[in-house]
Amino acid sequence: MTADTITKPIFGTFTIERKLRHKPERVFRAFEDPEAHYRWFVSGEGWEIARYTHDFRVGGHEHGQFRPVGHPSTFSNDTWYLEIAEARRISIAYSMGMDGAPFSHSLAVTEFFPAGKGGCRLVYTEQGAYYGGEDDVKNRKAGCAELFGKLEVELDAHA
Amino acid sequence: MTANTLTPALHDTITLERTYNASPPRVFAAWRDVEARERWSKPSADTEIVYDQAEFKVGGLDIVRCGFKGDLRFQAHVRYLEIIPDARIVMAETVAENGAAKAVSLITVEMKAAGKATDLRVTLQVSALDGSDMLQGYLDGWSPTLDNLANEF
Repeated sequence: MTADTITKPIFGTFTIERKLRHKPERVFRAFEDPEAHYRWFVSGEGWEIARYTHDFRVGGHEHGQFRPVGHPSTFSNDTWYLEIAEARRISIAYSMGMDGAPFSHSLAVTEFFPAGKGGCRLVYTEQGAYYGGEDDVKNRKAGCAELFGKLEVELDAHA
Repeated sequence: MTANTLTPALHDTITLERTYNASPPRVFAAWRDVEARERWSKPSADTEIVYDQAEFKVGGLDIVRCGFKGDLRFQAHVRYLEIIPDARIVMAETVAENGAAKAVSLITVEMKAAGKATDLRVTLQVSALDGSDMLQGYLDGWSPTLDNLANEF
């Protein structure tokens, strides 16, 4: 690979907010607990999960491999936990790849603020370097919004 | 802590650009070599940087102490996410002061040949966690160190 053939990154930032009917402690647990996290974050209809490791601790590394059913390419997610404040904040760096080649690197900070009576305002802020073109930031935001929709389902379905 | 007293994080992006009188392989080597980094990555002569661990490889971790000489109150953990020799380095950094997290950041370093010189672009995507002026701190810290880097060539 030479410098001329390397895709230049596009840098972007987006924020997603969710008002949740559950306490920050409860929402935090859906990230911390391996089974809950697998249900809302990892598994998904139409996806084959080849591999996923859960390692929720500062310095921990998670590696996932998955593909859309029938798709020839394998996607990967490598997550590093940078900082964890119990029931308040989770800071991660994560890289997404296709067939071993990274196509994005992101810094993501998820904050859990108490809100209303026993509720939580979740604020997710992602800053990233995206190698796939102008639509990457918009598409990533849509993908994350979908995941937080699944988080709401998880929280309502499991005590 | 009994109450949830979370300070909202502050997010910002800083872009710094420099041109160096050296080829991309030489500029890349100044980032790869710990001895070189210990020379140029101090913002001023009265500061010190000590590498307790250096692992310049994808997935590798640097553990660094830094601050004014005799008062290395800041700790940085740097995780390498992507390395393309002579072209790009991507890393995630956590900065703490006496063990308390102050900021996390994603740092993208891009090198491109410009004749016999190298155009360097550093993009710092920073989340300040403790309500302090870490965003200004990143700018104050990185700008002089990139000036120092010119002295390597």
